[in-house]
Amino acid sequence: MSAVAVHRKQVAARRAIAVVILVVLLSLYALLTLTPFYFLFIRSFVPTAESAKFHAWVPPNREFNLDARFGNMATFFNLDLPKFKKDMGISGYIDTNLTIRELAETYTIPPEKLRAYFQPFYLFNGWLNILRSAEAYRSFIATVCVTALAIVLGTLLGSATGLGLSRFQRKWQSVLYTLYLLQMVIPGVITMLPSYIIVRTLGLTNTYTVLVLGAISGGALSTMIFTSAAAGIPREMQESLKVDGGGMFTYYHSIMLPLIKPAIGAFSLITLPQVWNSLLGSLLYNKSGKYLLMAFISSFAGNYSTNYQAIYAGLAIALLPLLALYVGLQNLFVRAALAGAVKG
Amino acid sequence: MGPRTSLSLTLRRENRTSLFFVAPQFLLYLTFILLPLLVSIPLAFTDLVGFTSTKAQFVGIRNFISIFTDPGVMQYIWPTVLRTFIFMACNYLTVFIFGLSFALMMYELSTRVQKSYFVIIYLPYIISGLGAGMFIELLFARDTGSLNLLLELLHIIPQPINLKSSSASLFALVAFVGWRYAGYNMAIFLSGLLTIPVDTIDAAKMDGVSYLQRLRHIYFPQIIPSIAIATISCLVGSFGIFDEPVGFGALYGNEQARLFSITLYRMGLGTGGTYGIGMLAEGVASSIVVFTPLIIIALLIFRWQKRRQVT
Repeated sequence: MSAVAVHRKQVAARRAIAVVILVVLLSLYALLTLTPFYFLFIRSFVPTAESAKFHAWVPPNREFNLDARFGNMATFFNLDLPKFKKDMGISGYIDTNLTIRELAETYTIPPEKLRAYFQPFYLFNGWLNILRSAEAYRSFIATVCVTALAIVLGTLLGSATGLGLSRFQRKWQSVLYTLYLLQMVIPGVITMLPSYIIVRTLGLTNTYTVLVLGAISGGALSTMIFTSAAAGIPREMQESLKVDGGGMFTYYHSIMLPLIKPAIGAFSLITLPQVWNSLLGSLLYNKSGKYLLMAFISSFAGNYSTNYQAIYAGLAIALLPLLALYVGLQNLFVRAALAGAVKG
Repeated sequence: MGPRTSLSLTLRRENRTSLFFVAPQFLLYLTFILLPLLVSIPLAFTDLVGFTSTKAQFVGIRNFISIFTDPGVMQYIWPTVLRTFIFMACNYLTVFIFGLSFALMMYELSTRVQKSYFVIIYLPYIISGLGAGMFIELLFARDTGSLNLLLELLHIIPQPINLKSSSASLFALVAFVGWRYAGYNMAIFLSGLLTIPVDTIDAAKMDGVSYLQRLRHIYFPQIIPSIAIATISCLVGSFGIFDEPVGFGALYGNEQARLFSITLYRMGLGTGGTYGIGMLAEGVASSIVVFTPLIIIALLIFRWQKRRQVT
């Protein structure tokens, strides 16, 4: 064998070893990345009383302790008291100091009936807590609507901006483009205090409108994506339309929008998690009855500071829809991530 | 003469239509981004205490003096600013430790393998910052953190890692923010690397150029724009970070997780609530003092980078 061939073989062998090491390292990190999601799921079933013990899986169901105090249980399980009284045939005030066993004796209810009532709470306290919370449903639906509106309106306004800035390089166009780029160096926190004053002057505090408007107000990424997409369409397309007598508006909706689908896709998938996960806007402009999901979860966690089951079930509810979408559309998300990264 | 006039007429008309297309979003951009910047200047010279108060009086440069001299005001601002600077420095390290090294690793792999790792590493960026902050408690709360309990069970650590102790909170925040943005930074660096022509690298490999030499002479010059972008976003992002500290309980008792952004939020709230400070005008004044140099640095990097591209 020639020296060159031997050398090539050595290089190939070294490369193979390097690739194996890389794959091992990346796999370990991938495992580490998925760990919190796994424990989030498990911990949403682990009762707080057992949370000081390590659980690798959902713990076995234990028999409900009848010597627990009713008041403590009702608070902890966030019990719907009127419904409970109706189901158990109790009227009037219940002494919260009674244990469940004493409660059964006082109102002559079979203890087993009470046990059966409380038993599901042992593992599913967190999920029941969140699934029976009207606020959870309201904030979930509101978040879906605000996110959808932000994507649709953001696309329409952003692409219009892109078209407006891509034709005829006049001075004002490059000034506007630079102003949009400026957004990259302005964190939302710096404009937070004066923004509130402006929004209050406009009478938009405690509305969903302000959250949508804030999300579609444009910025560096939106402008860069849409301007370069609009500029990428051959000039002849518009010229030929002009011969046929079509104006810029016809061009916008019947030629440009269909042609910039990749840009719309990238913009949508970058906007989607941003709006879904947004916290500051809700906390700042709205009161707790008009929070979006993340602000709701944040206040929910504050209220239930020791009910880990409820906190983690709530967090799981907030993360799951996006995770499902991400797994389902992973190719598109990756493409959007790289497209957004090139733009910076 | 005739054709020329009609041409300029068309140009003018198109210019007008362009304005019409740009106007709607720009009005919003003006209201929500540019106007607040302008409004903050007069606001800093008033005595406004909170969002809900409407009475404001002009007090001159009093706020700019008190944020440097009044201990009652300083105690809220400067410890959190210092903490945020430490956070930023550490965060900048994670940009390279996570982002750059993952990008370089991924670059050596085939496209298919690359994609499956990309999906997982990018995943934390998709989930909320609030969630990432809450994960710290989930995994490392002193008595109940799942990873704490697991590591104890395996006798890897003698006692639980206590993140509520002074400095550990900040570094936990650094680690989890680094973890969350790993995919984001990786995408920035990887897209820089992917612009290198394949031929260049093949030729270098043929000539037996070692990996370190390739790194120095081919990869590094190619990713300078990516470094500039990652630097700007880390610089600005570190001071703007809000969701992760809130998730880590910065609004509910975890004082060590309070960064400058949290202080500003609390200053805007009136003193009525549990964590409101009620110093809106002082907050605006301190944000002008802190953010102006940061934005100037970011803009300088931005301009340097654009100049580099042109020449």
